Amino acid sequence: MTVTENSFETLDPVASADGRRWVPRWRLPAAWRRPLAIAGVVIVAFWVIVMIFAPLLAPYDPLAQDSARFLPPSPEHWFGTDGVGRDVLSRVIYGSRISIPIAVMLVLLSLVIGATIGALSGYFGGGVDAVAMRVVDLFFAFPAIILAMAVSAALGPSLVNAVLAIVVVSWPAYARVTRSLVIGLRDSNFIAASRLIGASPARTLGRDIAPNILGPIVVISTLELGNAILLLAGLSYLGLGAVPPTPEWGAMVSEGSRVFYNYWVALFPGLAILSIVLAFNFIGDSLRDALDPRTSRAVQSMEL
Amino acid sequence: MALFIAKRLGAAVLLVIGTILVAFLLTAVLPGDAATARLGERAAADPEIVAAMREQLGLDKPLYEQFFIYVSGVTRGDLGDSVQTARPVMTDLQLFGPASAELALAATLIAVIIGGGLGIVAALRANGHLDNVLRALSLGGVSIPIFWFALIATAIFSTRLGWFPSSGRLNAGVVPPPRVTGFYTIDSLIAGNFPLFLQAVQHLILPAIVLSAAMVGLLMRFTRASVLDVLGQEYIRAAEAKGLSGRRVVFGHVLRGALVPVITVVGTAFASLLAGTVLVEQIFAWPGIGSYAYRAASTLDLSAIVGVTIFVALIYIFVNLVTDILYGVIDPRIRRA
Amino acid sequence: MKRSVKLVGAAALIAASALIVSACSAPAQNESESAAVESLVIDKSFDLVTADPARMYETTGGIVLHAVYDSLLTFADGNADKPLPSVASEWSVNDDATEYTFTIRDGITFSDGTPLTSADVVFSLNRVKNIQGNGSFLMAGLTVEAPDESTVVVTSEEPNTAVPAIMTSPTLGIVNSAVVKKNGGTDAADAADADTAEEFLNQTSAGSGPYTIESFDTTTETVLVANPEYWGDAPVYDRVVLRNATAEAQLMDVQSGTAHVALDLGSDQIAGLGSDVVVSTSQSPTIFFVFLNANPAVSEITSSPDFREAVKYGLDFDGILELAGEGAERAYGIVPSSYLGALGPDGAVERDVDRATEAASRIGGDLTVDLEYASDFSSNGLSMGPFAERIAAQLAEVGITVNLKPGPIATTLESYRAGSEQMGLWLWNPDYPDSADYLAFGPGEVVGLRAGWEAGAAPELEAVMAEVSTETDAAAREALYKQFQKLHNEEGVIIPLFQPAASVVAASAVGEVKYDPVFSLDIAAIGR
Repeated sequence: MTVTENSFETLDPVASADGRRWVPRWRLPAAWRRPLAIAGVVIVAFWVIVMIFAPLLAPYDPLAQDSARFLPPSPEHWFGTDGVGRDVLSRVIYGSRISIPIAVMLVLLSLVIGATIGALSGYFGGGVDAVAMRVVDLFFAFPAIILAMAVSAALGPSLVNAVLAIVVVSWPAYARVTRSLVIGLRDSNFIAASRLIGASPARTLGRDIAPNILGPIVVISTLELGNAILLLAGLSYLGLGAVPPTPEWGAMVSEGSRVFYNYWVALFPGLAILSIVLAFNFIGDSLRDALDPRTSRAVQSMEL
Repeated sequence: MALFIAKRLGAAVLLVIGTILVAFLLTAVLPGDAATARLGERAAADPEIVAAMREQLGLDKPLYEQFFIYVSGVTRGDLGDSVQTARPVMTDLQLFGPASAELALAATLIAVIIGGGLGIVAALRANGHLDNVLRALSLGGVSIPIFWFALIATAIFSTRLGWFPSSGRLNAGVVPPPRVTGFYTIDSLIAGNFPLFLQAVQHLILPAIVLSAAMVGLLMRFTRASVLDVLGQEYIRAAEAKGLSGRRVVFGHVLRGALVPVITVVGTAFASLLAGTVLVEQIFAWPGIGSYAYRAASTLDLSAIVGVTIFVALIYIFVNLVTDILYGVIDPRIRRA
Repeated sequence: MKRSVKLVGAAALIAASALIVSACSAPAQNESESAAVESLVIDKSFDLVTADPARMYETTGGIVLHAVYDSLLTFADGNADKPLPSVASEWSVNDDATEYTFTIRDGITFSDGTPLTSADVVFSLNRVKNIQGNGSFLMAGLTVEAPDESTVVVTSEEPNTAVPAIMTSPTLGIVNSAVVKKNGGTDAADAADADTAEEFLNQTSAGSGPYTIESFDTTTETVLVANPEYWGDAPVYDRVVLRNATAEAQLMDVQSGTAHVALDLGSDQIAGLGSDVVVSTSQSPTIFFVFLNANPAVSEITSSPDFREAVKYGLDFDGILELAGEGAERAYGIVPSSYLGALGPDGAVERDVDRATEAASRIGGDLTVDLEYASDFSSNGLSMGPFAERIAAQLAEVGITVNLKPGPIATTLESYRAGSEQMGLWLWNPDYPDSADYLAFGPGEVVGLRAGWEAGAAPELEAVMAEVSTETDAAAREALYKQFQKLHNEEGVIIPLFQPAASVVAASAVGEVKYDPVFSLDIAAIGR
């Protein structure tokens, strides 16, 4: 059995030319072995193009309520119309302008907050670590939905507040992974060497640790993009995120579920969500396979 | 080992108190309260009635007093009364908890059977076309929006085909079996009522399948990885060298070796499963913790909100504890950390 | 070891597939059950909180308790004009409508066999008054006495022609005073603190109505069984299950035969139903309205008369009505179409975009306002969202930018009742079937205050309101209510939009089930 032909080849970091850094190596497999990654890239590229050229591609104004209500798919309206007479295709197209940029922003924010806390916690250990991890535990234990609803109720539903709610719920995961990655590196020789020289913690974190954890962080972020889109859609589905008439995909599925026999209202936005989340996951999964398996342990254990 | 567990338990208690604190602070920040939600238009316009209602709900006291009253109640096992159900929150949790547990366990079972099975198949056919298809499928399970999946599944299998009911744990008006565990499936078997058991299963299948989607994906991937891991190890090669047939090798050695990481994955995913039940329970009118939490949050039912929060936090802590212990058992290095 | 693993695996697979196959085939049993219709299953989106009539004032609670408790008077067959005798076999009123005398019917017994007397009536009504609950306002200004065992006298401080209509409310249902008192109930002045009978009444009903409570649950289902001691005609269905279901679930339930009656479906959803259901559509007295806050402290823009003019002529009422579906009617005034003094289409405002745009431009500056509404609330199958979006789109055409601010009802209710919403989209269900209820929409009154409309803001209108509230002659009241609404419309602070259609969907085995404009549903009348 060809068991070895997989992601579990060991991969040692190699010293850089000036001997000061370890350079992580990636094994980027030949493209033909990764049809899923290609599919993922193609789909993401497709949506990015749709997102950029939305005004040119959408046949109607996504907010115009001019057409008849609940028209089934037809040559005039490829995806039919919704409950107030808006073209579903145009709304799906413009929906990409909401879901994708917001998901990116969500991941960046959660990452910055989570990774910083996790890195500091992992590097310094001791009291800082204990406190930080208790806080992380608290956030993990607190039911996400109640937190999200509370934020929404206190601040009023809006995309901004949904982002806030999701960031509050998501950063702990990044913190944990970053912490275990940093702990893994902390005790290694070259970090010890760096400390011996007298490099400050900031320098060590910035120049020595950061580049080495960058790879796994990128992988996690890619996978989390899909999660972020799902969370945003879920909150909007519950009425806590995007405010009408914003053409957000989750809110559109929510509207469509009340009239599910007019299948087109819920079907197409749902397919849009599925396709892009799938694409991000394809890419992220393939990237994860290419990682050094020792650092990938921390990534694997994250429920992605 | 005992110290390890003790430390973990201590952290757990701190966590519960912290959760209560955060929940209380949250409800303090929220505009409106249960009295608002409870009163009709005319009643709300009468300040006397509003005052009477707030007094009845215990909302007239300052927040820190409410907090202390609540915490002292918790130590006695009293989580206050839910405004919406007019019952003690503890009773509510005892009624709604098993419903969610039944759903979650059913989903886990499905995930283990389908995800585990397909994961093994994928490992045996690693890097072939089938493997890629299965990998796409597993990623699909994690990627599908659960509320959309539920909608499609119900529209097709319930409305169109009529194979499964679309809501509830039993048919309308049917008296549940005498309560032993709170699981309608198990309790009806214990009571010897087989048609009732079938009815309970029939209602359970569709929501469990929908809920299991993400877990199937995860388990497929992890099972595949651990099976491959084990297959690459020395003792398997030794078994192969001894001349044992392929299938025997798989079933005999690989399953045993691959099972342990899978168990721990199931443990961690189980806790987040409870969070994911909110959407599924809403859609399938499943009277579980998820729909209870949603209703509590949207009607600002303070005791219920805090009660559910504690409940979920405790589940999370418990599962984490078990997982940590398992890890500690497997890998002694962890214990010292 | 390996063999046993294989065997176990195979056995599990066989068992699982057997289970699934038998579970799939089970629907056949379900269908034959529903053909006999032993237990009638009614789907409703619950707002149930309590089964104690004195504390109850919700739609779902009203449906349940109307079947379990009798009130002095009642309505039937969907009529809301003239109250019919129930516990009271006849009643009379004095000339200035301040004293009502009810004769208690002979031979009514409670579900436990004890006879119903005037003492029970007095106890029940006083308990509602003193318990300071959701429905206590019904007894505002009223006192009740029992001069003898079969007479009850209700006295009103002010002349009040609405008292008979008020007496039909399920909140004023007559409870078995002996049983309730034994279980912690009281009608004394301190009942708000002293009464503890709710828990008992939530489990065991103490009424004289056609049904008793078998089980009560506010989240899943409440079950009623026929009362063998009932003094009137026995209902058709012995056992009724009222089941909590969202509108989407109701649609699926009715199509799959899981439920026999669905109460919350809207015309959009009914359009998708098959043919083995009977749909009964009638006019609902619910009024959907939008208001513009008249308080300058809340919004300088919405409180300006120019803005009111811009909105009045900028709204396209037909475009809004379109979203309400078949059977809905435009509301020409704040009093619903079936009530005394309701306005007709004469003199109704027609859309005039030019006039509206001009009025808007007179205000000047950036016209941006917030429209708040409850996102998770629906009535008669309609939710607020599409209407809010339609209004925003229409007003955008006259130069007003409307920002939509939906929220869960518990939180939006707070700002609504505090009077802090710039624009609000809400609805009103009549508290009792009398036009007097709609005086709440005047300045300084319940809804008026929510729209920031203080007393004294419209003297002419308020004078008419004062006059009609003490008027007892029906013809004079009708004219006054029409005038009230004309002036109210001219002010333009609160704009009535439409009345939805109320539809009840029933399985064909059950037959037509009519919507009741007062009680929503009369369970005992189903099948007759």
